[in-house]
Amino acid sequence: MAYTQQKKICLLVEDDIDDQELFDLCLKKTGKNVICSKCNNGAEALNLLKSDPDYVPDVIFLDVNMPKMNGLECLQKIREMTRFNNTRIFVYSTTSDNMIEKKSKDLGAQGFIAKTTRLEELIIQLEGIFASVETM
Amino acid sequence: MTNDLIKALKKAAGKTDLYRKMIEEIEDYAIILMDKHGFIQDWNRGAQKIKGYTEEEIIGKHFSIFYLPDDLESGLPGRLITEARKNGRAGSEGWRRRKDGSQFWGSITITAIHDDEGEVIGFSKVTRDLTEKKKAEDKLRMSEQRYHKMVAEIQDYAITLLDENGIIENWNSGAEKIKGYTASEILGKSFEIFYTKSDRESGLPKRLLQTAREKGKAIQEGYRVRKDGSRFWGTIVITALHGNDGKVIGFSKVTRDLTQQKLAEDQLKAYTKELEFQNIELEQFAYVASHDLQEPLRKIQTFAHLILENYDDKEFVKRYFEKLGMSAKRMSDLVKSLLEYSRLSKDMNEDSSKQIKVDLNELLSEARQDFELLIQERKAVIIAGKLPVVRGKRTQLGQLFSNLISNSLKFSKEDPVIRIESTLVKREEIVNEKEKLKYKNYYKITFSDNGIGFEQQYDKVIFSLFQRLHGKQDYAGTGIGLALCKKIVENHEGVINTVSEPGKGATFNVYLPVIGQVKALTAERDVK
Repeated sequence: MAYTQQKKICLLVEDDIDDQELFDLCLKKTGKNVICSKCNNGAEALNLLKSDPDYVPDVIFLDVNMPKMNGLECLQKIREMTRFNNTRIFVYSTTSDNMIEKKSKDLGAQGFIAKTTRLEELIIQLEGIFASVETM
Repeated sequence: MTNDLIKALKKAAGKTDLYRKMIEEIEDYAIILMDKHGFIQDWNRGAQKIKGYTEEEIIGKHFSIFYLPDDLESGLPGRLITEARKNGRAGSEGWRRRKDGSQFWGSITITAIHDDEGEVIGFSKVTRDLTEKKKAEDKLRMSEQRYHKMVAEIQDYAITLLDENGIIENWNSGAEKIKGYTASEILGKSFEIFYTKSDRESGLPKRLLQTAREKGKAIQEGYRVRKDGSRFWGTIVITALHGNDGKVIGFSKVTRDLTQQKLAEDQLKAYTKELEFQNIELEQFAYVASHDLQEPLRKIQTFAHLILENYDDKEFVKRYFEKLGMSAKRMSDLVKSLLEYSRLSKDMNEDSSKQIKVDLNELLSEARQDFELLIQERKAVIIAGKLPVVRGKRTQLGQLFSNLISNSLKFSKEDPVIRIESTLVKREEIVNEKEKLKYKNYYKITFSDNGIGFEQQYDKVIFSLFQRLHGKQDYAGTGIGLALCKKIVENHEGVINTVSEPGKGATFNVYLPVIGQVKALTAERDVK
């Protein structure tokens, strides 16, 4: 389908520049056609999403622990905006805490990705996510 | 003469045999006929029953045979006869003696018998045995006496009797002990005297009486005032007392001094609060340990994997080795910060007597020296007024000054200006965390800068452990500095708050209590 050729839009909300870099590295390895923008915290992400009505990412990745506004708060605010009803949101965090995973789902996240020491795991997860986005 | 009396009597009273029989057979009263000197002439069945003599034994004996030695000595029988002769009758109640020596409580009426000319010719003596009634009365009286004694001597409860308007009518020793007034000082006064001024003004005592009037009783706990003006925590039960017609005729008021229990309870509450607070801290600590410390560790492992996978790419390896080193350093910084923080928590539980007088002016000049290079480099200016001497831990307060100054230097734009000033404020003037303020007066020490500032909504987050408002790449640090400041201020029973606006600098207000004599030493220089 012509669709599948189209670039997918992704937003990574992450305050740690190392983690931003590692994410990019993995995304590249998936070979998917994705443009990934970055914000350093939840507040910055909300400003971006509110400022441009045409900007609707296909997928948003939210770190949890960030200055100013944490990922869960940001998730809640995004889900309040109907414009992003089709946007898939994944919470992406070091904290392997069941409560945070549950809260993410309750707030409307499609999934929870734990930051691991093996980048292969992240690559496989990203491949899966973008494969399903392509068939949307 | 004796025969005359019997004749006269028979003529006067016993005209019929039936009448005589009636008197003879009455069992509950001893009816005795005596001559005018008190010698017994006739005797009925009741007399035999009550006094134990047979008719043969007693006839001709003087009636004083029934009297006890003391009464005989005092001449009671003679007095009774004289009185009956004079007034027509004489009555008496008292202990009398039976034939067997046992005693009974007799109620006696002696009535004079007159002949047609009005001359006393003899006496009738009617005696009733009221021993049982007397015993019951005595028992009741004893019981009442004991009851009064009991109420009077109870020490642990103030038991007062109030009239229907709340005027004190009775006062026990417990009341004296608890409230300090003697009975003579307090009787006739209103019970409102025990209430605090504000309770009196709000009408509490009147409301309590009204409740007791309507519902039978009123129960209340609260502070009351002793004679010397000191306060005690009392639990009070006011019970309405009703007359036979159901109307309220007064109140009983039982007060117990539970000051010690109240203090213990309050202390327990404070401990619980303290524990809850420490629990929250512990949770925060656990979260920090699980998240913040895990982050650099995870990165170190990831970088190590990446280096191994790209071992041939020299540039790549160099770059990621550097990153690995930085993560390790960050980990080490975090562990150090945590240690520092936990040491402060431990310090807090130590004996407060270790606190000494600390001159904040000295701390400031030490901080100036520590930051000398940075101050020069940034072209910073620190303008300070006279600072007070406070009671506290020198090293901790030094760290407080150092952290706040370093914070202002770090988040500054060009030419930082830091102002440090002190004023004396009353507790009521402090807006935040009022529940933590135990002292009347506080030194307000303000640290204001002209730096980048922050949005006011982050004024709480900013003091949390490892919470940062800026990315690690923008401003260095672990996010512990202000958390430490808060902890230090709390260790000194003070509070800290902050006011800011982005781009317009930040002000940190530290409130430290004015304790005891320190005030006298420094008040002069503070209150300008």
